[in-house]
Amino acid sequence: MADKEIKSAKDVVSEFLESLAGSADLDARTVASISALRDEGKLTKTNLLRRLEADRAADPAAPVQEAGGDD
Amino acid sequence: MTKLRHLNAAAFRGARFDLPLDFTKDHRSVAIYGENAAGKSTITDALEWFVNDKVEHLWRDDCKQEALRHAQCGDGDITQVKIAFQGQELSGTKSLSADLKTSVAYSNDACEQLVKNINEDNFYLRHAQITGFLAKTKGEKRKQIASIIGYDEIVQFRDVIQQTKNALQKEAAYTSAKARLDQLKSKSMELAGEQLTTKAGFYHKANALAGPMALKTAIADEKSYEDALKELRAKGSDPQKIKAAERLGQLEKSCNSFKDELEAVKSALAAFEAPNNELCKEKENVSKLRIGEFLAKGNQIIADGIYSDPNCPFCLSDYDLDQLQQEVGTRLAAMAALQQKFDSVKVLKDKLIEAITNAGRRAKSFGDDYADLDTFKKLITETGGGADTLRQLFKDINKSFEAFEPLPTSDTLNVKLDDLAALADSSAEQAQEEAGKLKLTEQEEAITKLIATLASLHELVGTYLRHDTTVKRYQAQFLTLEKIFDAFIKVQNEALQAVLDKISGDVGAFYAKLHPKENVDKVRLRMIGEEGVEFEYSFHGNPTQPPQKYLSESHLNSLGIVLFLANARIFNKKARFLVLDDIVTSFDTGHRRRLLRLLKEEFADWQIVLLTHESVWFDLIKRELRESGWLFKEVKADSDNGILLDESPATFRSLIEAKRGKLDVTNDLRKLLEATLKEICYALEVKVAFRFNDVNERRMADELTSQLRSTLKSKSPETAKHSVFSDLAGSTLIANLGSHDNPEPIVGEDIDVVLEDIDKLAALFICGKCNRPVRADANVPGEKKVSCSCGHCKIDWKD
Repeated sequence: MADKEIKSAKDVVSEFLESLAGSADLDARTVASISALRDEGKLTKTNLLRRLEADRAADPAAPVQEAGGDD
Repeated sequence: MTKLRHLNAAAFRGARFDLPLDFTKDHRSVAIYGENAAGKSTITDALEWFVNDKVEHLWRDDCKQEALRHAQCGDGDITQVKIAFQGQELSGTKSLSADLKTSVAYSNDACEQLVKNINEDNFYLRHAQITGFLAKTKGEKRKQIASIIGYDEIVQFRDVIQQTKNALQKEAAYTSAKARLDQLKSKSMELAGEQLTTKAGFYHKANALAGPMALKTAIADEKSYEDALKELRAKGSDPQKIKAAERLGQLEKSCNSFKDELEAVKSALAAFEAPNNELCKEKENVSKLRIGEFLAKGNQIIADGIYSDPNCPFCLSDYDLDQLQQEVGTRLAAMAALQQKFDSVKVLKDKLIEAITNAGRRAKSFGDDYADLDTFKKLITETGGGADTLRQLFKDINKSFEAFEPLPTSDTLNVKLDDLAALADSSAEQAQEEAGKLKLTEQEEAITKLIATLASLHELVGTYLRHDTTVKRYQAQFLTLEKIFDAFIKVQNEALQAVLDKISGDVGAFYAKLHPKENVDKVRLRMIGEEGVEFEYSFHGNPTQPPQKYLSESHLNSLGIVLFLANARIFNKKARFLVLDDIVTSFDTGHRRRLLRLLKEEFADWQIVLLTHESVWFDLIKRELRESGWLFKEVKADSDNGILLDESPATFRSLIEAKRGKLDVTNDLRKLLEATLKEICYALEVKVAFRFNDVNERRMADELTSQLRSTLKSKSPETAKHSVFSDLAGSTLIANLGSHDNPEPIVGEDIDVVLEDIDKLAALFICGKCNRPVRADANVPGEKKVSCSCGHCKIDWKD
């Protein structure tokens, strides 16, 4: 982007994800999975579906884990 | 930012030989005129190919590298585009061989980086692009604008969230769990007269049902529930008899459920078989679906310019990246359709697997729970075998689906399932009969019935809660995705609107300059609806959209042009040059003049390459922009030489050098002589017969030579006697020039003789130092002579 007043796409998405952290009305695991996959540059439909499947199978009391191991 | 210093295309599109375009050291703007089909767009195509590795309008119609080579190119001819940019040693050459292999050489890394950066800029506009953008839907406009301003990641993020949410809602595990909840609620109504969906609800109902039995135990949890059952059994004459009746009742129920589950397997198998076998016919293509993401990611990497070496990024074999990208794009489109088919078969497969799993568990449970019932040995044995059959079917289905091998015919399997169902049916009847033989008292029967009801409700609630957990986990995820999507749309729209506002400032101002006082103003781009982008404008004072509603073709054309100009001015990072290729076809003269003034005022420090096929418009450009330092060129097409940008002696000399020994150069020699004579005659004000317009340009060498000698005889008699005139008159070229279609080609040594004659003629009148001709109005003070610009070359000249 040539213009400094306009946010880059990367900043728009990053700031958006930061704003979601801690939202009480959102599933924390889902938010964490999206953020982690994006940080790894692996945010695709297939990878996210796989991550959500693992999240559903996980013990609800277990702490939210960091991402890793997707294609 | 940079501008163009020099461009040369050879063996490229319309240019058979070198097509040089020098923008001078001042990087001047240039207007180029050429009749329709003269090949002027070769210049735009050359720039586009050099920078973007493809020519969009050709690639879109599946005309790729082959279409870049001049039609008359031989195997030895290399298609080349050379571009030099403003700045020290910033140049590159892109070549395309006869076997369509592309290679690029840059002067240095800085130039390579510069070209990569220019690739992200918008620097050319063709008429088709304008109409193409305006015809897009609002959603497509949003995507295109996002792409122009580098917001692709926003679009990708949005799409992943939306696609995942949609896919999640269709997953079989979710849909079947949800359907099962409804079934369990109905069953609960049937058994308990109310929908029991919680453990607390069950305990409450159990206490109510057990009320007439006046139990001491109040059911409040799992332990008290088990204690209550024991207390109930103890109320009969023989707790063992009650326990036996209870088990027979459970067995009867299990047999009936097993029968239904086997039917569900048969039904799901029938639904799956045909579509799966149909899908297996496309085995090769379906198996490649797995590499879809790999291809899409790879394609994106190439599109983003992250990988630009002329080979396959995976196997590193030589491959043109454009071609690779196009091929991958086509494959991805075909994959999308097949993926849809695959997904629907997968849903059927998941349902079948679930049905097999349910029936398999039940089959195994007979052996686990009722092995001690001697009278049901056949049921235990057969269901054990049935469990094996169902386990094998489970494996076969998964294997078939993963390997894309058709399932073997299910006839034998169906017979086995039918036999099992018949056995389950008869076993249910047998269990009922055996329970009857226990001869329970009325109270014992009431107790047994109550225990069976409680056990059924207990199991039902347990199953309900298990499925409810599945559904709730899914719902938590897609409700979260939905909220994220909705929130992100707002963020996306705000971010886009901020950019649109930025662009709109220029769009509105530029449009107002093109169309002042025309009842259309306040033109801006705006987010429309949920997430579309559209032009909004005020028409007779009323805000409205879309533009097609009231605007004429030329107004729509203007919108496209001003959007391009505004985008370029705001977002171009490196390209400070713009190519406008035939963009004003629907403009009248007044609006064309306004466009020129807009360029002159708002883009004075930009380099513009303006191409047109309209001579009137070209004349207008000359009048308006000559004083701004613009260059003016005319493209002429020739069936032998392709397109040429000028007809100067230097052009024909380089053509003759390029063609000599390979192709006939007779016409080029003639044109060289004519061009030389025209230059001399113009400078010496040689008078020739009046002719109209273009015909005036088409004067042959013999006429020009004759009139030049005639002028010289009166003004410079000694010069007129120079031997070059008699040499030229006797040369093959002049001697045979009765027509332009000289039937006798000039070859070999004769070419040298003609070139020497032309050189002698040029040496007489054109200065070797300043390369300018002697002019009739350049009198040498104190001498009866005229000279060239620098005064070095002189001839006698009478007043």
